[in-house]
Amino acid sequence: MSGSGGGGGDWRPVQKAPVQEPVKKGAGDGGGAGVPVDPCAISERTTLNSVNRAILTAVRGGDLLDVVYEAGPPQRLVAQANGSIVGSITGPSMLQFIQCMLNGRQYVAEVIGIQGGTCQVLVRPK
Amino acid sequence: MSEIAIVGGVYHERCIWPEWDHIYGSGGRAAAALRSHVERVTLHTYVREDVGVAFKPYASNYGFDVVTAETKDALSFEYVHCMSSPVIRPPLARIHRRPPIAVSAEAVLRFGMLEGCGKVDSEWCVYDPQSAFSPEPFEQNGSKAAHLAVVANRSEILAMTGGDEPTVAAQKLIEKGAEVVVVKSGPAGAYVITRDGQSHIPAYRSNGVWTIGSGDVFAAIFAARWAVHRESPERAAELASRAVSSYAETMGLPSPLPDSLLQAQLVPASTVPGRVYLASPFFNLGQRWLVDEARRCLTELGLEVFSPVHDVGPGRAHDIGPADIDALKSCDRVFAILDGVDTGTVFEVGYASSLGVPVYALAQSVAEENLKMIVGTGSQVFTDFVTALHYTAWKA
Repeated sequence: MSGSGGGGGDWRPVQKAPVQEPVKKGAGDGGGAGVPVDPCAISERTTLNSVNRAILTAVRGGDLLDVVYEAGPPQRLVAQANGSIVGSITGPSMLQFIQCMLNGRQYVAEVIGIQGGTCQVLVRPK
Repeated sequence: MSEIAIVGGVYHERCIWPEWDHIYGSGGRAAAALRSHVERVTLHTYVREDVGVAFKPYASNYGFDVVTAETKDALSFEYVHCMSSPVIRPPLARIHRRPPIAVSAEAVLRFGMLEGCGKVDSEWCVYDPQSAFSPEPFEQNGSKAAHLAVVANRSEILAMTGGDEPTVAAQKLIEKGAEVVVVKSGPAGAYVITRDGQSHIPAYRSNGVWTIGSGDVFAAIFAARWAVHRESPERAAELASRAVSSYAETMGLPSPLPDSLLQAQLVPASTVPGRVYLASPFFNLGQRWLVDEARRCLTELGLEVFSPVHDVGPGRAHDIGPADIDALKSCDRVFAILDGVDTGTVFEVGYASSLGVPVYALAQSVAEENLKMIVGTGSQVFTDFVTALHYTAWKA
């Protein structure tokens, strides 16, 4: 890689913290040890890439798109509407989503806004 | 068991459009790309501790091992779009140089790095110098390889040897001991040069064009096929070029396997020389910046560009109008920026369409209704800037 050098401060990685979810009360819930954190209870706001404009025309704000893992190779995450790919998800938590999906977790991409050919979604647990 | 060692950088990369925020770098991306082609992959790299922690899920997800050397810096490349010049943090002058990383293995892929270098002792090595400024000759740091392939772009090949003709420069590297030199030439594909001759490998079209790290993917798959599986340099480069097309389209890794790569019905892509009319508003900073970017990128892709703001400038309507239309008639394609739905731009698109001049347009946030006539009369409309630029260059 090459380019013009020179931004300000150093970059530091930011870890995606899972959202703490309340644990349902049930048998054996003795309490005292704190609330376990689900590492797959994550959400991320992102803009879909490689948007298929023709498919996007049928998508509306508030729609829930299926988040589908394609093993490939190449492996990728795509957002689908009625089985058709609207676009791909390449946000910073992509690998975390994939790991969780491989462990059986499901996610949806809630359409937050569409402007022309851009589609912003909130990827969150189903 | 097939095996390769990679020595290369692990860096943060962020792009605004399309959206991308990951830790790859040349080393990380190559390890991810070729993991499907090689059973055991070990990446040797410099990383600061916190970056190493953040990079762990990448290694675990793709299934490669990482051997780290400590460094003080976390390097980040930030792009506005994938053909923009990245802002590198920390600034180059502030990056601490580290001692070389010694790597001894039968097959090695070595990338140039900003914070140090890999010192290689191998039977088979592919070397990608990764430096537009001062690419280091392979043997300069004491690296050794019985079979060496240098995979580099035109400017790197020229910088390593001098001269102004890449294939002549490549011959000099062959005379100095390289077995193969691959000159990556962007949209023109790649040239594979050996003692026996030269062959051209095309670049291939993709529906989307994502270019950050495409050279890393090329080097990775070339290394897997040539240095590990001992295939001919021509076949290795052909598979590498096809893997780049897959990556450019999907932004996904690892790369498809050879059968899948060869079965893909791909169309060779290269810039069709010609003159492009750059139709765009340029009335505020954002619009003017985008015109400059489009002009630069189209020129980099090998086109002659007519840009009204650059080539005619401001003036009275009765002067500007005829001058722009005369120029439009002299062009064989139009690149239009439709965001903002500027009346002048829409007029130019319509005028070009009536002449049968193909129009390639960027429209990220234009309502469908406003595009009806433009799309309906055959113009191609894209939401991604760099994809639109490439389709313009390919005249596809």
